[in-house]
Amino acid sequence: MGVSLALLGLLAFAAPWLAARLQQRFGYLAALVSGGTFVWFALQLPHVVGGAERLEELPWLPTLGTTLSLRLDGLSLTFALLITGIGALVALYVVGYLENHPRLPRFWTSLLLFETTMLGLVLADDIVLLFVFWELTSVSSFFLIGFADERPRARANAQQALIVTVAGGLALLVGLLLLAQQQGSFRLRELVTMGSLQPPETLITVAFLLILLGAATKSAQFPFHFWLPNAMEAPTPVSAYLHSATMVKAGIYLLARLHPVLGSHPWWQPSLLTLGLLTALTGAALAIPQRDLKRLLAYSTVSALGTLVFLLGLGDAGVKPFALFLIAHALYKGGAFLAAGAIEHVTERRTLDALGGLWRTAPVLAGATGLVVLVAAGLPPTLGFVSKEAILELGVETLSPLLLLPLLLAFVGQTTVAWLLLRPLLARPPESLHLHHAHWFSLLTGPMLLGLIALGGGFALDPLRSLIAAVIASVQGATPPPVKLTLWHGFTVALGTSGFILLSAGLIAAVWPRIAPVGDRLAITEPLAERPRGLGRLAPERGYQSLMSMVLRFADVQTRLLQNGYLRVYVTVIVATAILLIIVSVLRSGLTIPAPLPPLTIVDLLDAVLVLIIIVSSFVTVRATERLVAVAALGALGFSLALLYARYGAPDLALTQVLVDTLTVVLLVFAFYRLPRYAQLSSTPARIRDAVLATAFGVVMGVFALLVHFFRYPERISSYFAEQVYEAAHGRNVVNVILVDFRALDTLGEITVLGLAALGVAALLAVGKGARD
Amino acid sequence: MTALPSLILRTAVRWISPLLLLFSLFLLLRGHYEPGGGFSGGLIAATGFALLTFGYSLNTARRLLRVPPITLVAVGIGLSLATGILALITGKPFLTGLWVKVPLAGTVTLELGTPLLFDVGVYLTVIGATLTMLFEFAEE
Repeated sequence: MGVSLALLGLLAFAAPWLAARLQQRFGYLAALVSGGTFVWFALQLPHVVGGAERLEELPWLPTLGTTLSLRLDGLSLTFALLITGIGALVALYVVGYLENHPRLPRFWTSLLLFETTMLGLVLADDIVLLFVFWELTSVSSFFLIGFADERPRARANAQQALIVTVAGGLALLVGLLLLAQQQGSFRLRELVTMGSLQPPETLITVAFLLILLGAATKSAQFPFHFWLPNAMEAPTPVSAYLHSATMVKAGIYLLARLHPVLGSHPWWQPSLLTLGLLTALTGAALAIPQRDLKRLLAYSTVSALGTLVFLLGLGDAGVKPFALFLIAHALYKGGAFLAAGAIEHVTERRTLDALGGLWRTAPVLAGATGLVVLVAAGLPPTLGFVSKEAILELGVETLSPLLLLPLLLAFVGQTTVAWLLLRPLLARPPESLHLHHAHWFSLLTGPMLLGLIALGGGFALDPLRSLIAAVIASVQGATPPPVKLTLWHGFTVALGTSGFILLSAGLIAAVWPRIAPVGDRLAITEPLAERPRGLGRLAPERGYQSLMSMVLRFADVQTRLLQNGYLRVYVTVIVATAILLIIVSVLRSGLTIPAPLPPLTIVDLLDAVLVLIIIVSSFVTVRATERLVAVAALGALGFSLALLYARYGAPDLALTQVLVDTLTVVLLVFAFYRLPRYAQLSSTPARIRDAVLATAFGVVMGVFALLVHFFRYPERISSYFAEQVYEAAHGRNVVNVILVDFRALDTLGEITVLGLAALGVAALLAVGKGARD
Repeated sequence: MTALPSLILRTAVRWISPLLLLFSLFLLLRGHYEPGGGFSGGLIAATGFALLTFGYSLNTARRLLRVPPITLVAVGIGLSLATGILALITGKPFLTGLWVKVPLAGTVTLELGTPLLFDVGVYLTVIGATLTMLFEFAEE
């Protein structure tokens, strides 16, 4: 497992280099590697089905007790097969879909990074590791949605998906940590075998709600579903892979994974059933009137994700249909997206009304699409049929009408979407529909193969049965009784219901040209506008919009306040804050100056003269009416100060002060050429304010220096340094040894700041130059 | 900025600038025992180039420096960082000083340590940063 992760990860990082050299052929390599891992995982099937889990561990952060531990059981194997299998087909598809795209290397890095981290997510046994992978999938999804970064909408939607899923991810992190803390283990396998506390602690309830929030945002549950249709800005292979078959099921995976721990929590069933049904219904209702092929499929994905959450909410009884629907949906929805992408690629159109007649003009494409529709609509003998029958059987036999009816409605919606996919094939061809060149092998292998697998799945029930049993074992946390799976149940109520769903969905699809305009009037067929109308006014996405605009307004206000670009304001704020902080900390420290002050011991004429020069030149600097006078006075001040340093035993300081002052004067002289006329701009009140501030700062610093001077250190650091300077650091100049050895880290920071300042000056002057030219 | 027309300044600079550079190296090397070090050494060296800019021209100073000053900043910070990482590699905390004794003639040994390398990094950064600013200002 670790090897397959490492292999995919390496390929992701080699992609910028390799893809630039291999061009299109890199896609075949990626498909090969991904397909290879698929085969490896497929070979593990007998072991896992036999109940033997596979574990791998590598120490990672031993001090924190975190390990790189991976585990393969039924649930993770199913996901791993979907991720690597569909990953291989998508890689193949990209070859044709993004033919000769100039930014292909970047695309491959993001896509392979996603595949690696998604695989890591489902294999991780340590919850910290799981979280890291979880967030990384969000990040790679961000790059993939925003791949066409020249489009503002792609950028905005990428950001939206990132913010929604990462915000949920933060909640998830807290939830997982709470759960681990409460149960006393960071290992999923230990958490799962522990079972849940009865009765549950309040903290477990909080953890459950936070984890649910994380899962709901990732898996696009109501009211967070809006990011998923918007994510359709991504290239279609990405939509097929991330936003229908794999990443959006991460939340579902987590809920299934934690079912043994949290499933018996009293809130589990009500919250998952409600969330699932709401999402399933919302997605189905919003899907039907869509005109854009990808948005149509996206909303039906939302509906399917809701259905999956609903099935998990049913508890143990729902696990078998859950596992079946999970696999079937990944196959047919991935296939449907790939087929839709192929249609778009050859016709350069994506809206349902603008397409038609493909069964005559592009028969192979139509055949692949038709195959996928068979599975999506749940017609026998496909896997779609088997999974839908399993759900309906459970529903008809055990559910109350209150739950059954919305579920059936959601199914009608999802089936309608399947039928609508036939429109591009069968509808009357529009006048101007031309087919463009296409890399048919690459574009059609994916949908064909996914459709065929789903078709064959209906016949190959034996391996499927054992895989489902292994999933049930993971989700229920116990070995299940033998799984019953049959293609043909005879004429049952479920079959009748299924037929009813197919028929009514067919009817809705037939009158779709009348439904779509209603959707237009309600403003649900287009992305949410700046000023929403119709149903758009009620869209949960508006919550996101207003939250974001609030953030922007806050950023605006605080930037104006704190980062307004006026140096004088910055200096005022810094000085005032420093005064305040020093006063507060001095008052809290309880330091005092001994009264009366001891008499000054060393006062000679030179000191007095130097102090006098300092005082006079500071006044001259402030009152100067010419710039050169101000600079000269400042220089005089600096040199006098340096002399004082030299006289009181700080030659290093004095030397540096002299040099800095010299260079400052030099720099100022150069800068004169660029400065405007020296004018007095401040009003008298402003000058008084500045004078007060400056005096206050001087007084505070003076008092502070005195306080420090009279403070008796219990143990003097300077004597320690003086002792160690020769012993440990082989030097005699304490000041320099402190700079380059004892406190070298500080110096490293300082020279970095110095370098940045130089860069800043260069950049600012370059901007000025550009403005003048 | 065009060269100042003072012959005296030019003649003086011709002698003083190299001396200042030499002095800056002296300060850098003696820093461990006597007043000096990378910071003041770097400032002295920068002064040398500042004088060249005054006495001759910006182009002369740039040409004599040979590399863009910002490169010196990068090399300097990189060097200081590298001495820290060197300590990490030997298993000591970041930036720990490492010393070797090089036996010279007789009983005299020379002790060489990474703090000197670190100080060279400081020296280069200070020259680079100061001259980046100076040259940018001096550009007309």
